[in-house]
Amino acid sequence: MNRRQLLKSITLSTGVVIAAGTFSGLLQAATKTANADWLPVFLNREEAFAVTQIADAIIPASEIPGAVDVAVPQFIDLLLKDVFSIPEREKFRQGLQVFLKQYAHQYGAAFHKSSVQLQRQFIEKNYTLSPESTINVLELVAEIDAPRGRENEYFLSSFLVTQRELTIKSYFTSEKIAKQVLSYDPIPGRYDPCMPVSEVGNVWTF
Amino acid sequence: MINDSVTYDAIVIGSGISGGWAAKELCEKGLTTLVLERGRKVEHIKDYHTAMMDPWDFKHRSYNTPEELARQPKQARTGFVTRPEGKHWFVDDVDHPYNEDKRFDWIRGYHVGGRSITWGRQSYRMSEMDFEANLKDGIAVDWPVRYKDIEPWYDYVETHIGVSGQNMGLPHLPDGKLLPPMPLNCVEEHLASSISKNYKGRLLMPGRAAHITGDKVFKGRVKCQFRDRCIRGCPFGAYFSSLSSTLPYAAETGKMTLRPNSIVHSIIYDERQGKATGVRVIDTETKETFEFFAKVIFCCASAIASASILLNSRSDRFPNGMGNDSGELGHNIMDHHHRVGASGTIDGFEEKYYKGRKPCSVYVPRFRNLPGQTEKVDFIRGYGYQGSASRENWERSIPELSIGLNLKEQLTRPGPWKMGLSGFGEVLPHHDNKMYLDYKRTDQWGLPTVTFDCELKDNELKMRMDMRASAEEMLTVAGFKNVESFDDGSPLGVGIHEMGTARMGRDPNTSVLNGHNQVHSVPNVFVTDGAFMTSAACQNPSLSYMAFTARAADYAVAQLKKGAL
Repeated sequence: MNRRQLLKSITLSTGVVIAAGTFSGLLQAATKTANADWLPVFLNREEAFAVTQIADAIIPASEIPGAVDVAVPQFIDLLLKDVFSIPEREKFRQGLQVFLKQYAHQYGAAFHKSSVQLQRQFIEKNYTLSPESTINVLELVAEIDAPRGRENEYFLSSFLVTQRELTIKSYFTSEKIAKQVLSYDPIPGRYDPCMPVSEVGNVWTF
Repeated sequence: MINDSVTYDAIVIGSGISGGWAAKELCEKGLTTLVLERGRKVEHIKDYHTAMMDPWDFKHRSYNTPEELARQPKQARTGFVTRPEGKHWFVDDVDHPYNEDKRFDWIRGYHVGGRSITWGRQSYRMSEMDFEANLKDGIAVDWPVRYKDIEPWYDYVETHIGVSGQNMGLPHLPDGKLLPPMPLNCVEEHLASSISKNYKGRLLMPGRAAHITGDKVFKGRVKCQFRDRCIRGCPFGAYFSSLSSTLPYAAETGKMTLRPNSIVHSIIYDERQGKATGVRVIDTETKETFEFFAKVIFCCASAIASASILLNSRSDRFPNGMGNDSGELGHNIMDHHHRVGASGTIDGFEEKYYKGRKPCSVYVPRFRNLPGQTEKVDFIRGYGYQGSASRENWERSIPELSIGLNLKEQLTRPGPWKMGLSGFGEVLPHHDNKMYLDYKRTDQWGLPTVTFDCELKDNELKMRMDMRASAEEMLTVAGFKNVESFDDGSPLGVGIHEMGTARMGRDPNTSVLNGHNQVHSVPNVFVTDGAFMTSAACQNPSLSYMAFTARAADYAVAQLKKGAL
């Protein structure tokens, strides 16, 4: 995909108007504190807390469960331990540390000791980019090694992109979301090639 | 060395698509048959342990661990076979090494049923055009067979296995004995109409796949449930595999002995009789060696493995490998080249969706270099397209950075419609595309390993340009947007249609097998896996292996009864 196409596809998918009914959820999400009272197997407690807060920002709870409700942070922690190669997991950790340091630098306090509002503000600022900056980030993280002089930016961006991807994948492949939110049909039994989308509702689970 | 006191009527090497068919046919015709499988024992249904698992039932969902990947680095080149749901059907590359002078993706399944459990199930007949192609183009050697010779055997195997699909009356893709097709969805239908309207002699049709559809009853099998989890093994027996469809018939005769964990490393030749008398076997678990004897031997170990066994069957008469007077054994490796095509999205179908996961692609039959066609291209032979349309799911969001409730809301909805077309092209036979045995690098059983030295050549590379451009053009003409073409490269082997290593021909000086899949110089040895293919055509080949196996078994039994073998 070239730059122009990438840009176009991003504008397309972010330009979709959301349906009514999410505003109550929005309020709910803003007041909810993410829960990090689980014992990580790879991350340290502070890192696990940050991964949890970020997952919560990527997919907040609304009238339907959010990422934290379906144990996304725990699964990311497990993947880091079992699935990531050693260099991959160290790269993730390095980016996460840049994230935490930049937070401390900006707000003058450790991330985990700050208010949920400030945490959320910082996370959202990191992910809210113009389409052009998004392209720059995606191009940067496609590099195999950190370009000289841009190490912090490179590791932070790689972390943010990976955390987002893992959160989405873990969320939509969790049993609760797959069965209760998406359209779950393990044994369809027949093939109907063309039917009204209203008869299905949400996207098929798989 | 343990000599089995029993002499069987027949030995079948391998239990995959060809071996299962050989076993069924030989047993049903009354021959006591020993089926030797190098891999582990598998029981139909019972051993498909991932078949009913959902993503969250796997500890790491769809991810592999580095430890898992380290065991299957070559199998993983396909990009799909080593995922947790099906990885146990593909070999451990560390335990089963091979060598590459040039890259070759040798994707193997060592277990009872072989790759019949994991095959793509697309089932197309070769046509008269395909059997005449080498003669007309003056390349390699002529097939000693024509369509009329094999037609009744296509009828026979299709009727037994069940193939869903639609007959289109095309001379270059013959009609078959088909079950009801898996219909096109509305976007596939849209592309089909556009192609028919805009291109003379080109069409898009439902693919033909070896799945049961409709109401015809197949013993011990249930029709397709549209789960699209075929690679795990089907607990409904809905698609053809040796386990669902041939080995049970062979077993039912009481004539079959199936011995797993048995590597056949060579065939025993008796110079006095001018025939093979049996096979030498190593038990993979005990490492004991055995000899088994039979009147007739069917090599169905897959193209590369059957050629290896013959190459390793050296004697005074055959110093370069059994049946290798021509020097063609192990040469002329072909496959189908693919991983080239285009995809695009389309507007106007937002209110439409489907139910069920169709385990079968659509098919655009070959439209280049057909008889009587005047339009010229800069390559010979041709290709077909497979593909499908579907609505994207949450994975579409990965290449962007948005977060929050908007994102969540969007991703729970069906995404845009996307259609992809991917070509499957014919690979020409070249003598210098070859495999050979390396006696210095042996495996854990002390057997020589296979080395590959073959690659795509000029005709295939030119064809790929057209495969890419034509897919892009057809989608664009049909009003698709964001059309992107791709060519991900196609090393030989990655089509998992490796073939041609013991080709059929009319002349023993230039081919290994005659028109009955019989080794020219050793009449009681038959080779009926992909090794026999004289040319590749562009159709998925397994249906042809089944038809040629059934025909060869019929011939072998008739010859045995006449006392000619």
